[in-house]
Formats: sequence, structure tokens, C-alpha cells
Amino acid sequence: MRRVTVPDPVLLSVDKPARYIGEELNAVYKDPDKTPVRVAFCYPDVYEVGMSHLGLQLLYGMFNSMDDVYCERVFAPWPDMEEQLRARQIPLYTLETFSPVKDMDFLAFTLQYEMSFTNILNVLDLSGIPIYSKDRTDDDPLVIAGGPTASNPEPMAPFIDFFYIGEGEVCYEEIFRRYKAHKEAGGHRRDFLAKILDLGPIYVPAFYDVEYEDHPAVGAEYTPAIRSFKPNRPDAPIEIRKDITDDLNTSFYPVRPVVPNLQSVFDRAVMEIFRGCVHGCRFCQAGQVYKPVRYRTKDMVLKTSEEILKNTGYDEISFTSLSTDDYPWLGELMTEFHQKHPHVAISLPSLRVDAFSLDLMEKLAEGKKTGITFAAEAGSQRLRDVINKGITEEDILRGCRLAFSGGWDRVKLYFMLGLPTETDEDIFGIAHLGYEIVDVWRKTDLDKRSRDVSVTVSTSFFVPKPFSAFQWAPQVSSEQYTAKQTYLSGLITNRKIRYNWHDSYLSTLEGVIARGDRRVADLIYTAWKKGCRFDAWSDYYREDLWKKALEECHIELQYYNYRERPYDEILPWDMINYGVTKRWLQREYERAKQGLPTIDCGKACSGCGMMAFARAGLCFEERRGSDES
Amino acid sequence: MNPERIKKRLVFEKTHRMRFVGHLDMMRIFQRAISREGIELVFSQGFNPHPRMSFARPLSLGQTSHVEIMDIELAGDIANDELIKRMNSALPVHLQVLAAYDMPEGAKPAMAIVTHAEYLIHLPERHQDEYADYLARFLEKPEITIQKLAKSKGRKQMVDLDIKPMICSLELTEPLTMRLLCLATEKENLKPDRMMKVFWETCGHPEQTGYELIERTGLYCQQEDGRLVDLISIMKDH
Repeated sequence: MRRVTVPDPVLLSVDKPARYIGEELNAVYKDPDKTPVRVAFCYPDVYEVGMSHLGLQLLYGMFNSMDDVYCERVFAPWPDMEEQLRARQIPLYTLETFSPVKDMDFLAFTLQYEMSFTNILNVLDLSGIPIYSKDRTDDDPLVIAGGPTASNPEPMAPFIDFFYIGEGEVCYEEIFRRYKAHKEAGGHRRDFLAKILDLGPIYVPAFYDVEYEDHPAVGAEYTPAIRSFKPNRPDAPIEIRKDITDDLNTSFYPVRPVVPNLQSVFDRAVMEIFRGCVHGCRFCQAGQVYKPVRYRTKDMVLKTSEEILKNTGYDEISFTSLSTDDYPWLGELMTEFHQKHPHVAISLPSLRVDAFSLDLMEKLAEGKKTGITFAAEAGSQRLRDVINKGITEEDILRGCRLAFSGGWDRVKLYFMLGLPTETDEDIFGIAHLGYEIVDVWRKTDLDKRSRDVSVTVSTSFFVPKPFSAFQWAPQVSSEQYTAKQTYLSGLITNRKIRYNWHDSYLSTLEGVIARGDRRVADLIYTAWKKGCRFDAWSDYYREDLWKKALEECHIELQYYNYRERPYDEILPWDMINYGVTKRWLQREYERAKQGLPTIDCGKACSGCGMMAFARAGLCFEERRGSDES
Repeated sequence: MNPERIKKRLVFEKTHRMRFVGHLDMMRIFQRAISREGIELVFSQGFNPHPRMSFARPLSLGQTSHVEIMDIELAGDIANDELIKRMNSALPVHLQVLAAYDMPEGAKPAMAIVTHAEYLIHLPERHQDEYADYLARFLEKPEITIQKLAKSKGRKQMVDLDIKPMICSLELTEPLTMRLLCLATEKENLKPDRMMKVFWETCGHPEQTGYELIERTGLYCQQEDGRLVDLISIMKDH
């Protein structure tokens, strides 16, 4: 086994050397010579960000629970460390055994956001692994990618050997088992890829060919649409089906997560309480790709949380899901947990604001009033109907009224600018809501309310995502984004209201990549070659380099972002089946344009297709229920 | 109400790659390990309570030690063997508690009594035959000056500091090992890595800076008669 030596002066010269040494509590140490399958799991961002990610902890723990597998971690080195590694020709190494990443059997990336893609190319390069899949040999690891952003694999297709679509709990054990047999028989890498195609969630880009039309697409200037997307070998499936974990109460859960030695972004225990979301927000990708809704039972959550706390020593726990309010046993869970662990702080993301939750929040924060948050997303009821966000102005004002009379003094509001059909009136609605809230505070009883109030309005830019109802929708240009932002900013003149916004061009790039095809891979490669990395970090984001790359690669924003895509055009991600039908998404998009909301699937089924697809979850139970009656 | 307050002194080691974990991060690791084991720390009063935990003298990033000392206050008593065992099961393998002692009533915290520290400096093989010569040249210097960030003329800025008076002894004990005894008071605490930077510059090899491995081997408290007493042996005698 080779080991990488990192001289002390390197670690002493970089910021936070603890990022590069491993050695944490619960890190797994095995003998690499006795584990036939070696995996490097890479979260392509800096250590503190990656270590906060539940998916990493889950797969790391699960892989290492298998006797034949040794999974180690690697992160994107911060630019100061990259400089040192390159200057001294030190290859990127795993944190546990300091082995070169290149010596692994697999290198698995999780794709969480588009703007981490240049980091992936950088990690490959620093590891001495050819960037393009076609250039790799039997000496290189097999490069895997998964995670929510892998729902459109195409922009990363030339760099990845295979994509795993859906939830990792299901198939990896079988993949590794087959790999071990394959390795013992002495087979080649390409042959191995063919041996896992029958599993279902595996997409091997090299086994498919894309052809383009010979004329520009509808609404585009010069870029042709996809004419055909076909397997180039008989055993490659035409459709890739996402994997779903049937029972989250019995599937693997990381009760022994690695506790980072450095303070991470979310420095606390993480307990997922359910997966999926009953709401059908039309801009939301996660809501669709994580379907169906599957709950972990209250007992499972309590027992598991207790184990995590015992194994880590955390004094804070986060109960996570896409919409915490919809957990059926939330009240009992909180009460029982709080009784058992009175000194453990609980953080609950995305909670509806009502008397119950306010009481809860105060109890959890031990009397501290931490501020309340609303994800209103749009400023008018009309636009909220368009996006199917089931929150009303009255909900928000009622929540604020309650909070203010309880002494709360901070309100945070989140919105998106550039949503389909948005007009100035909708943007005006954002500012108006801010003023209304200040007004509610003013009208609150003087004895009860706080001395001052602070309302924070934050906007991000809407970026259409694959597998959301808005996957065909046009995206607003960065100039238009900026105009909307300026307009809104001009409307907010009250010193009690603060306005925060995001960079607009970054959203344009995110849009191109999110709905990109294989041609966008050139853009990612070119931008990386020019020095782009850590694009999600404003200190390192280089708009100028991205613009140059866009020009060199002839990427047409009109084609990828600005036009509305016709329904009969082949979308780059059409070969992936997430269980939600294209027909249903289309219907949702049409209803959006008419401003018609759709009831959430906790109340009634709107026929998205998941019921026929899933073997588990809310849909499955409903199907079984109707079969019996 | 006067809750029980048990003062313990712990000796711990920080070795291997753990030497790259900074002091503040290490404090959090200790705190978490203690809380994981359900051992209750006493917290300071006030608006922003923090656990009563203090260290004899923080170890610089990159240095190893088997003689680190930490004082903690617990809200209930626990047998020392038990404390060691439980903390170690909750600590990373290269940050481990070696010994625990009950603090006698009224004993001063370690950070208030440490006056001297001893280090072994392991040198790279590269210049093996020249170290005696280098050391002589280094010690001949009338002043050994380092730059230090300090408050001067009302603002923080880099100031020159002569550290020669802080070196009590520096000798080559083996062909590749130097032993350093130096001041380590709250006011005057010599950082051996800073000294080594000047060492390498003096012998014309600034590129070697950081290649030496520094190990702290002793923390001492100077008695009124001038004698240096090892902090750990004081505890053993109690």
C-alpha cells in the first residue's frame, strides 16, 4: 500500500490544517490490505461544509459496515493547500490512511449543487486521474456520481464513469459484491460497468450516444436541440430508474457519525425524520426527486437520536426533513425528546409559525427568542398560486402577530425573484409584506412587544430545475434579475427592514448547468482550465473567467436559459425516471400558467405517477388502502 | 445552593497528526468528550457561560507532547481511573488522557504556576554533521530577534523581540536532537517554532524551517529557592 507523505511545513503553512489530517472521533480505521474494495468518498467542497452533510455520513457508515469495503474520505482542498500540493507534486490523498486517491477502486462524488462541478474536475486532476472518463485506464478508480444534482447527469457525463440515480441505501452492497468478484477474475473496468447495468439505477454515459438536429431549436439563435438519445449497446437500458429505500426504519442510519475536529458549518447531530415532501411547490426539484413521502417512526427517531448523542457528545441536534411541519408526531417527539434530554438544544428547520411552534421554539432555546422565518417565496397571492406555495399573507401576519406579542423581535423572509409570470406588482408585494409586518409590530400591545423590530428580506433568483414543473420555463437574464433587484431595493426605505440579495450572474451559470446537456461539459472543463473553482464562494468565484469560457464554448444563453422549451423537445435528462411522469409535470406547468394551485398529496393524490412506481411510502399505503376497499 | 465542585488535574498527550489541531478546536473536542460521557462540567456564571477548563500553557500547532496539563471543574465526583477510561473512549486516539489527579483545596491552577517548559527538537538528517557548529553559531549571537504581533504605541503591530534571555539552555543531546529549556510564564513564553525559524536563518538554511519536529517534554514550576519542579511530579507526590 502506498502512503502519501505530507511534510510538516505544508500543513503548518496552510489555513486550518485540521482539514487535511483525519483523526476524528468515529473515523473508521481498517487494514487497507485486507479490504478488497476501497472507496474514496468525496464531497467536492471544503472539509467543514462536506462534514456537515448527512449523505456523506450515511454512505461512509454504511460502506464501512461491509467487511470487504473500506471507505475513506476526501474533500476539495482549499486553494492554499492546492497550491502546496501542486508545487510539491503531492497527490491528493484520503484522510484516513493517507493513500493516494488514485489507488482506490472507486472514487464517489456527491453532487449537491451545480457550482461545485469545477471542484470535481480539480479533485480528479489533483489525484492524477484523467479528467475525461475515456482517457482512464485500469489503473484508475471507477468514478461514480450521485446525489440530487445527478438528476441531470449530462453536463458531467464525459467525466463520470457511472451515475447512481436515487437513494444510495439500496444497491451499493451489490455493486461492491460484483466488483470484488470481477476484480478477483481479473476483468477490465469497462467490462465491470456492463455487469451492473441490470441493477436499475445505473447510468453509464459512455454507453449512450446523443445526436443533435441540423437546425437551431425553437426559440434559439443557433444551437440545435437533441434529435436522439440512444444506447450504443444492447444491454444498456433505455430508461434509468431511481432507487428508493423502502423502509427508513430498518435501513442503515449513521448513529456513529464522524465528529469533525474543526468546527463545521452545522456542528451538531443530524436526525432525518422523514424523506420526501407532500407539497408540490412547482419550482422545487427536491420535492419531486425525493418522493414518495416516507416517515421514520417516532420511536425510531428517539432511539436513534439517543444513540447519536451518546456516540458523539453533541449538545445540539437537528431534526431534518423537507418540511418539518408535516411530520405526524412532531409534538410528541419534541416533548418526549426534551424530557429525556433537557440540555440538548434542538434545531428545527422550516417550521410553520403558530402558537405551538412558538412555545416550542422558546422552550428549545431555553428562553432565548431566536427569530422566526418564513419562506414565502413570492410576494403576491397570485404568484404564490402560480408556484403552488401554500402559504397566505394572513398565515404570515398571524404568525408575526403571535410572535411579536410573545416578545420576538426578528423576522426573516425568503423570496425568489424571476419566477414565471412575475410582474412588478408581485415584486411590490414583497416590499409591501415587509411593511405590513412592521405595521403588525407597531399595532402590538406596547407592554408585550419588544422595543424594536427587525425584518430581513432575502431574495435569491429563481433557476428552473429538471424534474420540477418549471423544467420547461424560461429563466430571466442576469440583467433582468438585476433590474428586479434594483426595483425592490428602491421600494424598501424603512430602516427596520433590511434587504439581502444574491449575485445574479451566478444564477445564470447555475441555470445553464442545471438544464444543460453534454455540450455544457465543455464549458465546465474550460472554466476549470482557466482557474475556476470554489465557485460557490464569493472570494473565489470568477465571473470574468466564466464569461470567457461561455464565449469560447459558444454556449447560447438563449437556448439553455431564456426560451421556453417546447414539450416535444427531448430534454437532456429524459432517460432518467424518478417515478414522477413528464405528463404530470406538464399538467402542473399548465396549471401554473393559469394560476391554479394543486392540492398537496397529504390530502389527495394528484396522480404524479409515484403511486404506480413506489413500493413504499405514503403513496404505496394509499394504493394498498384503495385496493382493499 | 452550593453545588459540589470537584477540581481535577489531567495529564494528556497530543501526538501524531492530532498535533495539527489547534488549541481552540482541541478545547471543543475535550468539552464534547466530557459531555458525551455524561460527566458534568461546572460552567462559569454570567451572560456567556463557558466551562471551567484551563490549560497550563497552550501547545503550538504542529507540536506533540505527552505532558500536557489541563485543569477542570466537575459538578460531581468520579474516580480518577473511571474518568480517564471514559474520557479516552470519547476522545480521538491521538488525544488521550494519561493521568488524573484530585486537586488539593486551594491549589492554584496550572496556568498560574508554570514558569518553564522543556522541549526536544528533532532535527532533519540532512545536515547531521553540522548541527554542533550551527548551534554554536546560533548561541553566539548577541541577540536572537523574532517579530511578534503586539500592542505598541496604542495599536497592534509587528514588533521586534529579543528572545535570547528567555532561553535557559539549548544543547545538542544527540546527533539529531536538541534539548531546550525556556521561560513559559504568562508574560514571557518562548515559542520554540519561532526560535527555530531564526535558527535556520542563522545557519543559512531558511528552507528547513518547519522540518524539525518539536515535542514538549516538561512543564515546570520554579520554586522560591530557584529549583525547577516538574508539575506532574508535584501531583504524584500529593
